[in-house]
Amino acid sequence: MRPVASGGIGAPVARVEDRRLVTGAGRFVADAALPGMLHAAFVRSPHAHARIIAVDTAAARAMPGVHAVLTGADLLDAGVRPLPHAAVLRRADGTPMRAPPRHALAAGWVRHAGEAVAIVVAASAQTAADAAEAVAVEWEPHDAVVEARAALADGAPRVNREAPDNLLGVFAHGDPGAVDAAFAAAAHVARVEVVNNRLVANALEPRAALADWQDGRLTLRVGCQMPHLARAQLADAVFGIAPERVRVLVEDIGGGFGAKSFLYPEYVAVAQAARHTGRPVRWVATRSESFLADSHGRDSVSEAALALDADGTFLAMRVATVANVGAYVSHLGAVIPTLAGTKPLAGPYRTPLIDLDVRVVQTHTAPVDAYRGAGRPEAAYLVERLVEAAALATGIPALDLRRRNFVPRAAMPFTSAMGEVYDSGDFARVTALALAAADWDGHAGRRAAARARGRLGGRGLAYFIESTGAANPVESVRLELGAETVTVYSGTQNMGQGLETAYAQLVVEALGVDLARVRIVQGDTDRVARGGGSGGSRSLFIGGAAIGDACARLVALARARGAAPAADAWFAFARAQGGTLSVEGKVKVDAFSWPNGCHVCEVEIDRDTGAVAVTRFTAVDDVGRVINPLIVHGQVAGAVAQGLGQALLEEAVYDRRSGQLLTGSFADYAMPRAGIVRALGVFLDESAPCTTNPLGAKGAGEGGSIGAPPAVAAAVLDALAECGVTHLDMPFTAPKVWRALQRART
Amino acid sequence: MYAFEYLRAGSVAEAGALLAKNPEAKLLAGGQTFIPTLKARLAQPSHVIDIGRIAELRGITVSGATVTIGAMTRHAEVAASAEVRAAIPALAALALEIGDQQVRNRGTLGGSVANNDPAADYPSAVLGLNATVITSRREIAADDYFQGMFSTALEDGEIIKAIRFPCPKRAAYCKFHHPASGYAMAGAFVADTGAGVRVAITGAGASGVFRWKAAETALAKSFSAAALDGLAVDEGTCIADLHAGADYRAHLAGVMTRRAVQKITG
Repeated sequence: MRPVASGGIGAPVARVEDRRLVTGAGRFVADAALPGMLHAAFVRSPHAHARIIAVDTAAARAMPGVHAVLTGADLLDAGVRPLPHAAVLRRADGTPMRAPPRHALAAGWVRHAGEAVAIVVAASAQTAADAAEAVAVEWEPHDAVVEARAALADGAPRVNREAPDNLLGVFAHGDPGAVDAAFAAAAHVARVEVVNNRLVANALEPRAALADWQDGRLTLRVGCQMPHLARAQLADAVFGIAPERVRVLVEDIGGGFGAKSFLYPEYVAVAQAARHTGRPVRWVATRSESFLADSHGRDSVSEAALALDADGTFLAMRVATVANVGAYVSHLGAVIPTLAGTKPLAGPYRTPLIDLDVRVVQTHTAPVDAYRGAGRPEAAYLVERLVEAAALATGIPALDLRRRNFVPRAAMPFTSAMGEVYDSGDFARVTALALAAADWDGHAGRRAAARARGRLGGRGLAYFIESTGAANPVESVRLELGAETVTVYSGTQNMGQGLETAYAQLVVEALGVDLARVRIVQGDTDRVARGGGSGGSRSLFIGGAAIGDACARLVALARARGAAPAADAWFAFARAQGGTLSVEGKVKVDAFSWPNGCHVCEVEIDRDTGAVAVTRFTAVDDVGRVINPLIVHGQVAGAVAQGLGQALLEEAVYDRRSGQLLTGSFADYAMPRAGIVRALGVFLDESAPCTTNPLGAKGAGEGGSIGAPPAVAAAVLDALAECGVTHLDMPFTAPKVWRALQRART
Repeated sequence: MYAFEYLRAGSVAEAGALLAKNPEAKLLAGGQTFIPTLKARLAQPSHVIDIGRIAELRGITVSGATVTIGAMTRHAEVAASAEVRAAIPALAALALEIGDQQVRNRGTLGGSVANNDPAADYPSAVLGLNATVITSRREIAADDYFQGMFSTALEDGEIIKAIRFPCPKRAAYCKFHHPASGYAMAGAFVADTGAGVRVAITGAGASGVFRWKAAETALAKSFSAAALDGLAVDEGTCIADLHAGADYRAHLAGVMTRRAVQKITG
């Protein structure tokens, strides 16, 4: 054991931001107010698909207190351009993907229920909401399609004029001929078809924006995980102005989970409203607006097959996925089910061949983009469901199949069938730790006890590996040593995940200063020169490595001046040097990091009601070197809770005919509560640190939401196996489980 | 929320007078349904008359074989009341299962019974215990009071003052929580009143709370879960929605009834 420096790397330091957040002293956009500020409300489409024939704003504009009403046409007239997105795909014929332009306010057509059509700006939020109702829109409603596979059918309602088949683009990987040959020679073939349910992130804080446009310069206060990207997109893509003329300011964020990563139409409309009125304009979403207009997560259906030899060795995997990207392509909408989400598709296994075909489809639903895990939960869920199916097909226990096919530690670095290099990991060891921590062998007794109470007991295990961070491998920070404090300026973004604490610990570790002397400045594109923001679990191991580099440069600078300060002597050194010393730290990590873990779930199912109770959940995660175990435990536990939410409760449902969102409130969209799991054990294994960044850390923010769904699925299907149920899709709600039991009986 | 005038009534008489004067006014009790409805702009009353602080509407009285609970008594007060727990433990237990702690701290018996949400808990106790709804104008027997989903015998301007529950010989409530809303997906209140057995089902019926008469007859003959074998709620009368089909709710009503009986018989 390495001794832990007081407050340094590995110390379980209580989060410095928590006092502020739990005592109501956090500062969110809704807390910000500027002199002369106006309030915005949006007119939203009641239709999933309609042509806008006319928008009559006269009555709204005539209402006392109303300052402006802007429509899509007004924004076009003002030269406001559509929101950008990553157009990474090609269509089947090789031509580039082309999505309909996503205007901040719909122009001509609306393509999902809740799409913003006009913005009303008034002296109070109440007046703005009243006036929004007075905007009269003449609609020509059209048929809508909300499910990806239905959208591919002949004659389906059309979302995108550029892609009349609703197929935005395709993504393929592998050698189909070689995979065919492997399947032909296989002793066993396992097949699954699984749906990955559409989710709403539902951060505690709804989205909000406060724009002020003075003297030709836009200041946008917004809860955004990637402030510099937002600045670039606003300046370059949307308004066509120099980046210096845009300042993005982010204070506290009440949860991001990926859904607050990118630019939204409302932010652009609020900014334009501020420019138009010359007054600050603020908008705070209602929860209903969050459900309708936040980007959603997941929503794909996959058919997959696994070829095995007689011993259970994986020979090849074939995957065909149809992913629903929604009505418009949000920034990474087309990336997540393709380039990003398929990186870990080989899982922790040596499977030599993968044939992958992804079709990205548009529908009349809210855009789908990043949500905790962003493509990787879908991959892990699919692979682990396939392994469970292979156990049924071969008669070999799933655990044995996994162990037989794991990439061994000795084989690291290992290039997977997806062409990805896993640098580190000890899957067999982590599995052994999980089995012990979960009392795997003790399940039989608990199962018997459950049976005595009339319940079906089940046990499931899942192993996941995920790719984090290196889509954007560069990060830099400025570090200022002052007479009293050390200040780090970072373009990554705290959104509740504890960066202020973990970053400070890195400074403590390197310089020996007291934790209380460290300040972390984020979320201001004026004070922080650049940064990639926070997403994909990249912050600590990339942004943190940049802090390590900055500290090393400061030490070198001191040495060059003949000093070797430590602890408080740093501040005396700074004073002796005239007050403030500034260094720039920079890092480019070599590759993605590959966090992985083994999750074990036990459930009890009430035969009479179909209710599933998670009785025990054990997570053993390898996040590489741990900077703060308290924070990582919290990250894993929170992500597990979200994963349990996806597995057991959550599903965004649109009406197939009308295209209306049926789960538009917490009365219909079930969120996990604290009681979702009766006993949760979180364990961290640091025995295989990451080799591709200086800290040895791997991303830690998403694993739970990746590992939990397949672990729950395995447990539920294990419990139901004796009743003849072999397949179910998430969420495993009581009515759904009950119906499966009824069907199996008949 | 649309703008409205807020008025606070100091007495039932004053509330009645304000209602009579303002035909577009609505009463505010605990606000656990009404405030979200206002926030979603699904109601546009001219006036909101707050009756939550009227002293004569608060409190719990045990007298002889009845428990009378003021309409503005909070769920949490009923759940915690030693008198209720002694006289009708099933009623206190029901109150403890409503919503969450915040809802129980604000929501009221009268508000729930006046609203008559088809998935609310209290209507099943009122009907199952054959309680009497005492209003500003009269007393209404439970069997006459509930008249369908969100529909009651209350007339315009009539205000619930209290509910009088006869103490049963034995009773129990069993509920399957809706995972999102916390309302009853199906709930069964079973009471052996001494004069007979009453079974009230909430959450499942397309017309709101209802008595499951076949179960009552069977349990009157033999008060045991086995007496319910072969009986089923008619799924044709049950709610089908996004969350569950009518067949599931009908089945669940049966399961909850059995479990309520088992709670009683041990």
